[in-house]
Amino acid sequence: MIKNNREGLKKLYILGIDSSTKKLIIGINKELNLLAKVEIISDKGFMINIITLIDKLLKKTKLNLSLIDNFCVNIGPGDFTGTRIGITVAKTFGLVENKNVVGISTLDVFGFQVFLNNFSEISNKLLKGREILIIPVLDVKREELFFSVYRAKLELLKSKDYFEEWWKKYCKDEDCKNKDYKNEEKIAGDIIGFKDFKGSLIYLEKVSQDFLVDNKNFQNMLSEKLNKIKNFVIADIYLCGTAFNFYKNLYSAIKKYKTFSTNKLDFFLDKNSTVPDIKALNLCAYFKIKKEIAAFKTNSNMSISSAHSVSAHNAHNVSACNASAYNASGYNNVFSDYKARRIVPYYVRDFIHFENKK
Amino acid sequence: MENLKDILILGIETSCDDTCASIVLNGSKILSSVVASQHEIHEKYGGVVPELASRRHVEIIDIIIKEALFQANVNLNEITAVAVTNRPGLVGSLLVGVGAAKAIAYAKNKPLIAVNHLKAHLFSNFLENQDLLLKFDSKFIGLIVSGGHSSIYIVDLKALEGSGSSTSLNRSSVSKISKGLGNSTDLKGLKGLKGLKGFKDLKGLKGSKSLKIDKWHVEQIGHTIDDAAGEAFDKIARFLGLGYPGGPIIDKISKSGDPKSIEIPRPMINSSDYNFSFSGLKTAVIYKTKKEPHLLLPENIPNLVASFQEAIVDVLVKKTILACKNYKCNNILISGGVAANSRLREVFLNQASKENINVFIPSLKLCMDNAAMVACLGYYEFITGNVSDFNIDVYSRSDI
Repeated sequence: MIKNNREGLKKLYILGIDSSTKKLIIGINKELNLLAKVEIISDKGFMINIITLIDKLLKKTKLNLSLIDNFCVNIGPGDFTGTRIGITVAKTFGLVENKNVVGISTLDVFGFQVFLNNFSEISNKLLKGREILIIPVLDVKREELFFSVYRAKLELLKSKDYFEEWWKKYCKDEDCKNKDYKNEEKIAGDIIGFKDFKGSLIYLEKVSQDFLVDNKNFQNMLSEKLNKIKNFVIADIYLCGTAFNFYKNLYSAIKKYKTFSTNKLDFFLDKNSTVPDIKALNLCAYFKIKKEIAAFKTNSNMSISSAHSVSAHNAHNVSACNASAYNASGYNNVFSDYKARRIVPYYVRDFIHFENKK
Repeated sequence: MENLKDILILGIETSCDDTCASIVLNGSKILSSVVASQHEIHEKYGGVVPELASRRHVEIIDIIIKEALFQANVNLNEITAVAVTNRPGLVGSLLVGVGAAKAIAYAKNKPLIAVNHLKAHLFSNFLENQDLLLKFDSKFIGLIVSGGHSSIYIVDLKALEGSGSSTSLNRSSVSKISKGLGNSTDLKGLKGLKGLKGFKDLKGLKGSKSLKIDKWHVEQIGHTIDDAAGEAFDKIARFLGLGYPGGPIIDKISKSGDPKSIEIPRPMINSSDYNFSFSGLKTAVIYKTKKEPHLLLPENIPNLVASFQEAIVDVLVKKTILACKNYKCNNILISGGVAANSRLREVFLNQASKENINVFIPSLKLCMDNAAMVACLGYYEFITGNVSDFNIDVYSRSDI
């Protein structure tokens, strides 16, 4: 897999919080492996239980908070109260421990979850030359759906150093900031994560922005968007997400849709991916962090001055620790990078006041 | 006195539309008090929109805490405890502050103190004037007037009658305990999360003779039966198209108006209880302008709002002084956003001095929502052992 950037590098520990659904799940990853997770199902008890739950998890893994290198949190779209609690706690831990905090959208988590769950099937299909798309669809109330399109791709690892080059190429333009998912140009080719498979590399990239559509118009919109993204004539499409729980007929309606069947698009529904998975969340964060480190190294021309000779996985924190002027909100003293790393819940719609709703 | 350990409290307050964090030393010295107001967000709606308030809190809570620490030149390891408002207020807003406070307390092994917002308002008077606790006899009539509350309280501090020296004796025993807390091995008990074992000793203080702060008795004796005073200001300002927030704007315009020029009713001013009603007052003003449209001419606006403000001030002053007389109490504590109103301060001081009553109003900044008052109350709760566990929730309504 990813080679450690330097010999003897400390393993990366990631603590992930997912409070975007009715389930509060917290998990810790050591590099790519999920060490342990804890969860509760509760409508209102997140605020009461979250710290106790984190404490339980840390005890279970025999870690303590200061050993965690990165915090990540599911920023939604999801339950407003839940995501706010999760984000506040994750952010504050980041502040207290001076560690990086990463926010991941539910769509990314679902996309990567399906990628992992169906990995062997997807990789075999890719080897046979099929196009693979993954489309998570969320129920976001008010009869509307929210979706995005991801694509699994195969890259043959031709030589020993090929991976390094490939990775560098992809990380070059990474600007270390949270992506603006409303800006389509910025997203194209954003790599969510990858896994190796028999001497080749299979990766998942985001190929569209996120769309909000009326549920009755979903098939129409989906076909329009797929055409726009690229002319997918033959492809296997994996569907997942909360929308298929809520709208029982959605899957069959998609399968029956004429434009899709004439274009030879095959649909598969991943029934196991109805709740975001903590492992997928942590891994999305893992790859995001790795991208940031690589981008940091590229930008600083790999110079290892004494001031920067911190362990590589902490490299991104160096930029966050440069106390410099931050005038935007009138507070001059806080760290300049803090704004860039501002993690906020992902709201699907702009706020509309009840007086203006009509 | 041998080395009294200083107690540094980080206060966090997000009960309504202001994101606040503050560092206060020993309940009296404000090292920093950061308030991020959201007025520009709520302005176009003419009042606080809870959903927007909550969104903004999440966005900036960490920045505000960081700023408070920076301004005080304090790091989180030096903090003794974290105090946070968990009731009453907007639930969506409160949970942001409480979430952040819990995370800090857990990560840094510090005691967590849940604080009542209204009680904190009353205590903002002690923040600037700690001697109040010892100088005056122990009974106060408290008035909290803000955009969300208009209530009268009896604050009975009888338990505090002890002399100054015995108080400091107690503080040194507190310091011993807090010293023990500085020991990292002791702190491991904290992580058990069940009842914060490390603090059991502290609770022993409750039995001490001179500092029974936990026995302070605060009782609500009157409240508004409909709108809060600040709400009435906002609504009239909105009706007249003056802007938001209404209080400061009306205060400013009223200075050039005659408060006696237009007759406005004083609702419930002669009722024998300590309740208020400001909704009818607002309606009366609106009806009056319908009957006499010339009142809405720009030249008449100062007179109109000055008369309206006078009506509110009259009711508040009369009822509070009535409470003083009936409860045989010579001290008034006033706080809340409306306590920043210059006319209210003026009339209160005048009337009270006629009746030989002492009035205490915090400086303007401390009248508004702020975290310094939370840290101040947090200090008193802490030294009396009122420490919360990590399972605290947030509540929209609450008595003191």
